[in-house]
Order: sequence, then structure tokens, then C-alpha cells
Amino acid sequence: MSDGSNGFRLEVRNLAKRFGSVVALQNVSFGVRPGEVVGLVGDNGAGKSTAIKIICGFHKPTSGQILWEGQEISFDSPEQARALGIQTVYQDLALVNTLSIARNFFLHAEPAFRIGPFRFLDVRKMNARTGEILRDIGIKDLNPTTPVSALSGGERQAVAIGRTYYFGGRLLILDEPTSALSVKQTQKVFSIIQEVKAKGASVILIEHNMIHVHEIADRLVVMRHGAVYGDYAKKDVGITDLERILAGVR
Amino acid sequence: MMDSLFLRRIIRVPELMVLLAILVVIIGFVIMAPSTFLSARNIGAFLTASAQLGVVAVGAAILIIAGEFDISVGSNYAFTGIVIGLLCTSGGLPTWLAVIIGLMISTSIGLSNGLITLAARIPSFITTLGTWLVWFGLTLAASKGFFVSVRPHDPFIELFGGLLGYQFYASIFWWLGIGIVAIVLLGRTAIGNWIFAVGGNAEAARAVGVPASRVKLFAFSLIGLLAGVSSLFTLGQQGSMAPLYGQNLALQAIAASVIGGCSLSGGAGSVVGAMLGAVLMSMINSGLILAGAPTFWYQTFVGAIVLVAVVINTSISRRVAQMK
Repeated sequence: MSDGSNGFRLEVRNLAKRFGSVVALQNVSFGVRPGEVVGLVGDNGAGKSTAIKIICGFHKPTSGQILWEGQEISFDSPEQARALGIQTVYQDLALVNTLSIARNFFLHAEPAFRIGPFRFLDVRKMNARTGEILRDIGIKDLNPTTPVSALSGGERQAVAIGRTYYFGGRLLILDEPTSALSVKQTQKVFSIIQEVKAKGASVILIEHNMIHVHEIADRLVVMRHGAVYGDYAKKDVGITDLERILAGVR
Repeated sequence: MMDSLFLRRIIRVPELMVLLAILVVIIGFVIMAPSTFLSARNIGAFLTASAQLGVVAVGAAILIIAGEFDISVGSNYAFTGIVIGLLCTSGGLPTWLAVIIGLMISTSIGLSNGLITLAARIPSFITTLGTWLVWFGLTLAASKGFFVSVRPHDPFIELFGGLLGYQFYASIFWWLGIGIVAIVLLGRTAIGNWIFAVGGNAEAARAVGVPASRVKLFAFSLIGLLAGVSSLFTLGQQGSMAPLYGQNLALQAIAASVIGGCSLSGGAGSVVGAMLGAVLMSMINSGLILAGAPTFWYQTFVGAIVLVAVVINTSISRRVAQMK
């Protein structure tokens, strides 16, 4: 791109955040491109959550810029960030267990036809479209009418990520999507991340497991003491390097 | 070991259990009271009783699915009936106007339960425990402790609860009509989907933009309205309302919902199930009378059925959860 955005869909420049006299973030700059997975790593208290909360519109930065496709923006509320396509997938908060996959997918975006004051659901369309989406992201063995409570942890996470992508998520922020999942379930979640990435979504992944994050991320942004310590392409940094950087050995 | 498909089907169709129970109860009472239990008069009688309880159970089921409770609904029912009676007798208002005002009051009582619950962020069980007593006291004050009657054979009131023949009252058809609307609303409309969502996981629903508080307020108002409708049924059948009526109504409506498959933790349940639960309870009541048993057995029976229903539903859910 010629607009100086370096091809970034979202970029933050020199972000700083102070809570009273406490400096939570200083001089944080990084970006994420379309079709790219950025692993945001760092020890507890390194500033990952604060950075993410600014990107999602929960906090306003004390100083610094947020750029969306090269345009400087600022958010007054999380809704504004979400409307733009910045969407967070929370581990436990993403889905309603008692509803079917299709009803979760279309929650608050139900295909419906209006008769008087009521909006009648187009159930056939909901189920058919959900089936297409599930096949499209590689979850072939799930029926759209299955209640989410009957899914495994990995399937749930995969469905949540798929839903976010198909309902306008252009930058997906995943907060430890694989914690408490088995190896097999983790692979299921990774394959969904690969799918949405291949379709052009940007992903920021917060992860404590260095083996996991190194497997799935294209770039690794390491935070330490509220600042970005390093921004590495995956090929330039190994798992042991990462662990040593995080431990402060390097 | 039960077939997993069978268990999953029960989970998907929670009404199966209550249908089975109804079948067992019918067979039992036909044996105990062969000439009377399935007579037109008795069917009319227990369906009329079902309507009076069941129309509130429809509201209770929807509110429970939305993750809330209203145990003040019996006081709302009595208060509304007393007010309608007073307005069209001492107040001299035309009946239709008294009824409209009455239903607006009952809906507002429901709505105010929701507003208090959401504004104060307290459990609705506690809110409505308080408002139950508040409205009960106001009912006693308004009626001075006496029955309040409407004009005898008032055609507008009889429209809702008049006798049609063989102990079949008009209320049965209103109840069935309201039930069908509620079933469609819950299962086939966007707001129905939102009701399940806010009861199942309010935070997830909010996160995708569902106006969770408004959905809950809708459910609170609806059970208020239906308490008023139930009150109309009673006025139509009896021509009067007593301040002490309805004190068991809330718990019976919750019992009917639970028997019909509603989960007390919200997010799951069925209006059909709650309506069948009300039928089951009314059948047991009339059957015990016909069989010559003392009526206090009714409470014991219903209590036992509630326990059995919850135990079975919970254990099935657990087993289905373990299967994956």
C-alpha cells in the first residue's frame, strides 16, 4: 500500500497508558496485516491486556495513535471497535450453551421476516447457512441444530471463532483460546485459525504457551514491562529464544 | 444402559417426560374412578383448572427460560381481580375499561419487578419475595379482607371465563390461544431466540448486541399480564375474587414449568411442557377428589412429581454431557 500503512490492517504507534501515576504502557508500536496471525506474548503484567483493551475500545490511550487501514481512529466505546470489525473471542463468554449452533451463529443477526410487531425466524435459512459455514471452515461433522452444550471444548472454540469471522470480524483477538484444551482439541482450534487467516482475517493471539503460539503465529510481538521488547518474524526466533526473552534472561 | 440417542431425544423434547406422566396418571385414575374421571364434566373441570394455572405457567416458563423468577405472581393475580371488581362496582366504570385498566396494572406490577431486579442487581427471587408481600398487603387493604364481586353475568367478563357447558369454560380456549402464541413467539421469532440466550448466558448475549435487560423486562411484564388474564378467568368462572386467592399460584406455576422441562438455571425449557405440567397437576387434583382421597394428598403428589422431574432431568443432562 502506498499510504504509509505498511500493509497493516491495524497498527498502533507509540501507545502509552497511565492509570494515575502508574505507567501501564509506554511506547508500544506494532501492527497486524490481513491474513496474518500475530502472537502477543509476555509475562503477567507485561501490558498485553492493557494494549488489547485499548485496541478493543475499552480504554482510551493516554497518548499515541491507532490506525485502521492507514486511517487514524479513536474509539469512544467497544461497540465502535466492534462495528469496525475488531472482535474479541472470549473463552467462556462467546456462546450460549443451551442454544443450537445455528441459533448461536445468528444470535442478534437472525434472518427473519416481519409480520406486525414480530420478526419470524427463517429457521431453514439459519440452519442451511450455518451448515455451509461449518463446512467452509472445515468442521464437517457437526449438525447446525446440535446444542452447543453437546460440543467439546475445541469444537466450541472453533464455532466461536467461525461465528466471529463470518459476522464481520476482520481483526479477531483470541485470548488464550487453547488453555484447558487437549492436544487434539488444540489442533482443531489451530486449523480454524488457519482457515480464517487464509480467508484474509487478521488475528492477534494472546497465549502463554510458547510452543502453541510459535506453531500458529506468523509474527511474535514480545512485551515486557509495558513496552514492546521485540517484534520477530517466526523464522527469526525459536521457542527457546522466546522463553528466555520472557524470563528476562536475554 | 440407555441408548444415547434416546437420552439426547429426551433432552431435545423435554415434553416427553410430562406426557408420559400424564398417561400414567390417566390410567391410574381411570382404574380408581372409572365412571367419572374421563367424563365430559370432569375433563371440562380439570381443563378449566389447567387454564387458570396454565396461563400463568406459560409466563413462568418464559421468565424461567430468561433466567428469572416471579414468586409475587399470586398477589398480582389477586390484586388485579380485586381492582377490576372494585372499578366496575364501586367505581362504576364500564367493565371493558375496568378490565383494560386491570391488565395494565398487572403488566406494570410484572414490569416493576423487572425494573427493581435489574436496577438493584439483586436476584429476582428476592425482589418478588418482597413484592409478593407488598401486593398481598395492598390486596387485603383494597378489599378490606372481603370478596369483591363483578356484576353477575356481565357479558364482557363471561367472554373470558364464562361457562360453555359440561364444566368447559371459555378460559380453556383463551389459554390454548395464548399458549400457541407463546410457543410461536419462543420458538420461531427473534425475541424468542433472545429469551433463551439471555437465560443461557446473558454476557454472551450482550456481547453480540442482544438488549438483555429489555428482553428480561419483556418476560417480567408478560408474566404480569398473564397473571391478570388468569384473574379474569377466575372472575368469569366465579363472578368474584377473594384477597386470599392465588397464594400458591406462583409456586404451582413454577412447579408446572419444572415438571414440563424448564431448567431452573435458565436458558432451557418449553411452553408446551409447562402447559402440560399444569394439566398434569390439575388432573391429579380432580382425580384425587373423584377417587375420594383427602385433597391434601394433592400437595404431596405434586411435590413428589416436581422432585422426580428435576432428578430425572438433571441426571439425563449429566449423562448426555458425559457422552461427548
